[in-house]
Amino acid sequence: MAAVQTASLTAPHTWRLGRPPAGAIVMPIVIVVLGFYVVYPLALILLNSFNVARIAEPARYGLENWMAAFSQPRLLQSLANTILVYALYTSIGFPIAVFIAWALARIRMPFAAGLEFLFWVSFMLPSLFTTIGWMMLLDPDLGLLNVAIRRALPFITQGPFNIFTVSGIVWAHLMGTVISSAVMLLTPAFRNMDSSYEEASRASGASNIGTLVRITLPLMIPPLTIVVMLNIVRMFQSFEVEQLVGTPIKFYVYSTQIYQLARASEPPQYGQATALASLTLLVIVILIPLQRWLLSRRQVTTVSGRFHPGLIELGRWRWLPFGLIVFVLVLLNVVPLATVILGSFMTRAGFFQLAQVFTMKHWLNVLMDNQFRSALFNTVLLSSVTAVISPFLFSFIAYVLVRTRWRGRMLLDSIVWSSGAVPGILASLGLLWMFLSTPFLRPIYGTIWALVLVAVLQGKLTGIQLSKGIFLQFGQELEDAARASGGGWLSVYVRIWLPLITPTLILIGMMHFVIAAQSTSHIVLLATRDTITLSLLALELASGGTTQREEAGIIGLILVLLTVGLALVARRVFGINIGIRHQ
Amino acid sequence: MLHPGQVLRLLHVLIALLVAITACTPQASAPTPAAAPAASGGDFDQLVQAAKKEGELVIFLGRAGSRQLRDAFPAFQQKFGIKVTQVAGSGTENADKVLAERDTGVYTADLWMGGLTTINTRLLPKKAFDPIESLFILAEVKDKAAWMKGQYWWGDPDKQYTFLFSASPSPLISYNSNLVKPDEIASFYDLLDPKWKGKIVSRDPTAAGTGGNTVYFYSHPQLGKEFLRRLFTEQDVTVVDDARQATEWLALGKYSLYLLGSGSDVSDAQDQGLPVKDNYGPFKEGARITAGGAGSLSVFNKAAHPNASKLFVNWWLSKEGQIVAQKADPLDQSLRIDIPNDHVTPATRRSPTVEYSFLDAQPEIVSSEGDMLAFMKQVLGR
Repeated sequence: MAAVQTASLTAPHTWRLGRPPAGAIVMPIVIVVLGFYVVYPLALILLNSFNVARIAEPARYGLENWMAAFSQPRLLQSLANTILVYALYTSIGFPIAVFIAWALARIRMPFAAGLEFLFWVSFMLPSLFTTIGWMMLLDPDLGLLNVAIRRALPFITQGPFNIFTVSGIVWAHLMGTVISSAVMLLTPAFRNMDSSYEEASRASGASNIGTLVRITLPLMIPPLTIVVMLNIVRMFQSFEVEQLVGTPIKFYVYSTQIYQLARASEPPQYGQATALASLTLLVIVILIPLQRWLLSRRQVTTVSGRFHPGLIELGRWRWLPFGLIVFVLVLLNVVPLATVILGSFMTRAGFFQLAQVFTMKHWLNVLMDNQFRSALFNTVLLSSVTAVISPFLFSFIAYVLVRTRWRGRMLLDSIVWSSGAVPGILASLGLLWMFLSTPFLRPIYGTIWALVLVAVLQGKLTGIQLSKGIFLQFGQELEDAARASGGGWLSVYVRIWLPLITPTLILIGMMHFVIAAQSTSHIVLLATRDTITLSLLALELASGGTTQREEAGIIGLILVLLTVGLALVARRVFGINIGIRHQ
Repeated sequence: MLHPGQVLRLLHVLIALLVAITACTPQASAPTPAAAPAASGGDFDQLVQAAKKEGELVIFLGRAGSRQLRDAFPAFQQKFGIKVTQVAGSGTENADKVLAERDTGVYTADLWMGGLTTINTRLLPKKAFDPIESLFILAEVKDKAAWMKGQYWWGDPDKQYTFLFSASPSPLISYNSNLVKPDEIASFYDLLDPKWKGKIVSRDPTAAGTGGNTVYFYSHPQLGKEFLRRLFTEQDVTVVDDARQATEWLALGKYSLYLLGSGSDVSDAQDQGLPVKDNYGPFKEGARITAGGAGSLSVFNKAAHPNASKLFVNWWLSKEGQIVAQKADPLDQSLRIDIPNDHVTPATRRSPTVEYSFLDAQPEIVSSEGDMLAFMKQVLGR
């Protein structure tokens, strides 16, 4: 086997006359195409950050924007706040997510598939809704939960909960996507693990918890590393929670500083905003080699040719993790959904003291609006095409990165990671410039296909990293056997890998459907009235003041129904359980 | 796991779905090439025919215009059979888009109806507009006597690009009527009373949409920089971006006073029965009117649909157009004085007995907005 592996890995370097190896053709194409769409807009934004000319003057380059950006008085404090909030919600949320993912995948538990699906539902709920929902419950003066507690327990005269605190911000993050996204990403990986490792551990006398800590978690390092790294990259871009909950207590984070420069100022200070956003690039420069070193120093195969499935039997104790998971799901789903549904029928969401508390007006306004119908069509089109293209494209790139020895993989990996460096507000500007300044892209400017291209690219970091995690879990002998039977790389990818990773492709497709359907900042500058999507319509309504937030909530609700419906169809039609099934 | 046959079936389903969706996609319409404006001699019928041939009009709006004027444009569409495409959203984003397009030789925009801050800080310096008065061909539009004080009102320092067509009293202060008595704020200096410390929420004075209000304080001879500096540094003012959030905090009593509100957020909440009110003054320092974010009209040069633009300008500024505008946006009164004003909300009607300052139409004030923004950023520590 070792000989076969060596032969297959060195084959690309042995050119036969007239037929160069596939890597020499495919890799440059992948790097050039992806590099153009990722690096070119990034380069345009970075170049513009050095342009210090006043508007309408010829370009003049200097460091003034960068110096001004990094000499802002509250920058260091906001940076410290960002790290504090991230450290708190990660140290609490990540272990909870790991435990839930492990329990869902490795314990024989009633309704495990249904519970896992409800974490998808939670992931599909926009952060804005969950945050507003918790604000309505935990406002120290008028929060519904606080009011109910004070009525039930008269000796409590204030509070007792207050969302407008640092712990409130952390709570809002946990109830947003911190837990649900990690569970979504990690559960398939836990499910793909060969149970013979755990059985051997338990046969040696280790307890279930001991096995989890000493065997299971070390084997899970690739997906765990990827999830942590994705969260670190997004640390400086997380925005909605801090804007809503942090502003009243003057708690500013790094992303609110970027937002202030790019959106809350007129004229917008894009140069300074780009300078601040470049900190994420620095983090990525550190992360990429760290990730490669971490992943390369361990044997991480969990699925081999001798895969042995199996679940842990806990007997009646299985109801304990079941109960805990149901409790978390109630917090994650019921509060925001109930808030949005209830709010959509209220004259003003959250205000029960009005003379006319309930109304159908908002639903009628949304459903009778012609713009809504075209936005619904555009959203279905955009999200469906993105959901079909993304899994194949990103799994192919992940395959190239993980399963080939083609030259240029480090460069390709860097290109992929660099795409996560720019917040949506700035990325959209770079993409607008790219479309307008590139002759072959100009024809699709103003059409839905420009939005499709952007939506596909928007999710590439998560999609590719998720695919990489799965490829890393599979043993090399699967590929070696196929290569030894005469299969080329494309044949191996299509005939061996695609069937193995199809469940993961469905997961990626679903995620990208959600990403595309909820996309706002990346596509806002490229959409026209004819190509507006539901998320952009909701953004317009939510940003317009007056009473239109309820209508934005209804559109958000319809988006959730759309995505949840699609997920249910995917499960029904394809009968797919994400990851390898254990009986 | 799926076997290869299942994977192929899955692929077939997905491809079929893709093909079906693609087949149903409406084709994007190519931009109409610009044609020379017709009817320059005043032949309105000829102009209508030329505009109909172009078939479309693209209007870029700011947040306020998107919200307040959207119901007015279908009347033009129905009357002339010309499709009106509204590019809604924030003025900042729309300016990003239109400027990027023009920098690369793409001209899709015809008209701009947005806030003066974006116009004066970004669009005018890029020479994006044509003079508008030369487009007037209807006698009732050309007749200056039909407009307030017998003159046109302009929002740009050159007095030729940004036509102001409406202006109304606008509240700079709103209050929680359970916590504040109306006469407690009779002068803006009452805001500096220590009892309001920590009790004031304000929209961001440097944000698009509030610049026109902030510049009133900045340029007022009795208020000015020192007043603004004291207000925002001594009174522990909470600055937010979202008007709705500020209104609800005011209604809930989290704050007693709300500064620099915009649009109808407070009046809508009041109509719903919440204890909030706008304070329209007049204050000791005087009374003011403003064109707001939806009271100006500018015409892009190299417009995609020059005849449709010219037709719209004449219709919009006519009696009929301004009545339609007032009905759609009852918070803003037309500057035409020969049309009824019974559609205008009573609180925002101009009083014939009050002398208002109209800073939007004073070029030296308009051009000081950049200085004001720099000053406020310094005050806010940005």
